Amino acid sequence: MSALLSLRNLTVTIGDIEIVHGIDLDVARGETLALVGESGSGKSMTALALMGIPPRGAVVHADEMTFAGDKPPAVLRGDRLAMVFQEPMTALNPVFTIADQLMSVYRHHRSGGGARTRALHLLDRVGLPDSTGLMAKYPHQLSGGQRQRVLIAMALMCEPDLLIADEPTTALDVTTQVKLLDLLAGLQAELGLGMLFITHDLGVVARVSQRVSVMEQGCIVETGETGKVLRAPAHAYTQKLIASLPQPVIPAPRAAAEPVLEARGIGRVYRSSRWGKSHDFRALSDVSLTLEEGEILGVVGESGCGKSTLARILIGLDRPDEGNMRVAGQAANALSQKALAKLVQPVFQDPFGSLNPRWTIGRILDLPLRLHTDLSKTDRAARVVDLLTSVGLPKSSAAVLPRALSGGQRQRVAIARALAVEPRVIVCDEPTSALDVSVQATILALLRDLRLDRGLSLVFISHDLAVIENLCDRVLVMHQGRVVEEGAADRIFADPRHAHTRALKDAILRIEPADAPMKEG
Amino acid sequence: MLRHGGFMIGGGVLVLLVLVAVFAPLLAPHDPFAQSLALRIKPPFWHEASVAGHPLGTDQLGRDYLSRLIYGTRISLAVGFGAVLISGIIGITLGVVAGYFGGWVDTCIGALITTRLSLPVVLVALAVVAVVGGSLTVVLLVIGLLLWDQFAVVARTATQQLRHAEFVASARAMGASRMHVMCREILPNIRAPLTVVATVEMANAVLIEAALSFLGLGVQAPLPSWGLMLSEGKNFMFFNPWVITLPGLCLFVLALSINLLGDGLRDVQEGGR
Repeated sequence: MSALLSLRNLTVTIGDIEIVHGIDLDVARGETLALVGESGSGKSMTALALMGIPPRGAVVHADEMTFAGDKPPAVLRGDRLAMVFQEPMTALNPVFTIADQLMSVYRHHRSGGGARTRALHLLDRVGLPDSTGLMAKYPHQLSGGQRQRVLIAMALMCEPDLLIADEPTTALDVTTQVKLLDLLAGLQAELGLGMLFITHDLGVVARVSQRVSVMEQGCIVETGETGKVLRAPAHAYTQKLIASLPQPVIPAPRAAAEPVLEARGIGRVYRSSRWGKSHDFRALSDVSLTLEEGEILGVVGESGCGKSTLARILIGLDRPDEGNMRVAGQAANALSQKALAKLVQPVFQDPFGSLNPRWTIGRILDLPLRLHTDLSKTDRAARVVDLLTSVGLPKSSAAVLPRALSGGQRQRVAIARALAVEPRVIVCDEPTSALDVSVQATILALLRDLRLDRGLSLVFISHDLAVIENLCDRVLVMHQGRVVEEGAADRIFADPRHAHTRALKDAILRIEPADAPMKEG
Repeated sequence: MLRHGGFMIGGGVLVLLVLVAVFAPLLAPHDPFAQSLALRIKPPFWHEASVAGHPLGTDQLGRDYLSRLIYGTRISLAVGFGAVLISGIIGITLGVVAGYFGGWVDTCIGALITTRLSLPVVLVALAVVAVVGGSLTVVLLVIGLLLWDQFAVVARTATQQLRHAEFVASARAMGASRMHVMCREILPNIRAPLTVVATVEMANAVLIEAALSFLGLGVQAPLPSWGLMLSEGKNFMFFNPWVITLPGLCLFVLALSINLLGDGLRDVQEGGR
């Protein structure tokens, strides 16, 4: 196989900081090379440098950067070298139709007609039904998965030899992700493309690539055949990444306990009226759940299934239209927000949005103590230090602003804040989905420890079945606002009964056939 | 912050003008109200006809021009700061409340903002002053009660963006009161755009005061307002152009320094995010 892209000693510098430290890459015709690393490892910067579109102020240098043996790749971008970006919502121009966007790429690089025929052919090829009707549509009329398919078609318009895909499936639902990965792998094999696939997800690497390069802090630490690297990683960082993947855990048997949170027949309808006509959107219908003392209940589903609405109702930020809820034996609608806050606390998804950027960590943690206790100022300061210690943060972090902390540290602060009022229940809404996999592992371990130490009860909401399998005792599967399946975690994973649960289970990307699950101590 | 040229120049000039206003009695060589008809319309020091003791000359009543300009700083700054304080309190309160609650509260406040935007500021100010009579207090109040629209619009939009932020949801889930959420969680986070609005409106207020005084419906003689000095000087400007250039230049420098400061603040705060 001839080398399609070869890169020697690439460095990218912004200001005085070197972000990529002299890396080498080769992609052969017909092979997929995965470039895997955590956020900030420099993998996207590498892709942008290759395409000749580095961010402003970045200086790119390489001893050799050639495409098919001669030209620099940047000259050929859009033509023989194409890129698929991460964010399908923003990568398409909202004011042009799909036809305009697909055909303009072709016309830019090729003379003569045939753009429309090729566009229609490719839309069929990427698995979009009714390609003729689709051509006249605008991006906002398509779902995320459909847009990403359009972007792939757009990249293929000029029959490129090399496709650079930067996290193309990260923003999509898990079941959509699997379909798109298989589509990309199929196209790559059929058209004999070289593909550079950038991702943070080792499961994705295993699914699409023949070779893998592992990137850490601007260096490639390991390169090799995908199977070999994933089975027997040589570098310590690769070993750590693989060890951080959530593994199935068989929950320890628990004695039945008192229910601490009970919801019966919860329904929520969003009403909007325009020009006198009202439109109803049913976010939740007849959702019931029971959370026992000391239990971790997983709620899993794809985006739009109503799981975040459920979370908002459980923490009292939204009121259900139907059904009722009892917390620690008291009817929730009889409790004030403050009284409910003492019993149920949230941990949100976005560690960058859930802490007030203008407050120090100490002040953020002091607020719940000030609202819910009559401790003196010095006692409260002592409690803040206790809280920081209990989530594994140094006490010096009380004095800093959230922006001085990493994503994982901020999420620890959010957990400490939830613990401050000593609630009976913590509702976690996708608490790890914005985090790197190694950080995710530490947060999951922290939640598990807190459950053991404090007997906390958790509702853990996630789209990621692998995480749920790693942490939860019982699982609730949601689909289109309804609970479609409920049961003990090991039963759900061993024997999923509902078709949607099976689809979710099949979408878990593992790096190898699952080992025997670990026993929980 | 100290590296930003515009911010440093604007801030420096503004601080200087504030000091001039505060220490006016010490800095002014003469009483700004003392008339001397023998020394009417004397030119500044660079003219041959200038007289000693009056470096920037005298006006049509023989009052020292430098002293009047120095005392004029007090009036312009009082109107600038005072009007921004009044309009800021009104506008930010309305904007944050509208943005946070939404629904019919927002509709009502939105209507109020639209009403205010449909009133031409100078015309309304003229009408009010014509009815009530002009004085520094009246001018300050009228301008303050008319300039809150930008504060309200900006505060409303910025609050709407933050209303669904997770830290706001966290505070509410914590049982914090609405007052707490609005004042402590949201307000500090919309400070940056509001300071920029404040500087724009401050320059605006200074210029409106000058315009009203120029039209004879603002600060009343003999108070040394720059706008009034322009107005009084306009009969003499063909042969003695400095009687209007000097107060005009003062207004220009003050408005420019406030705007430079505002632009600088915006750049610095955006960079600091």
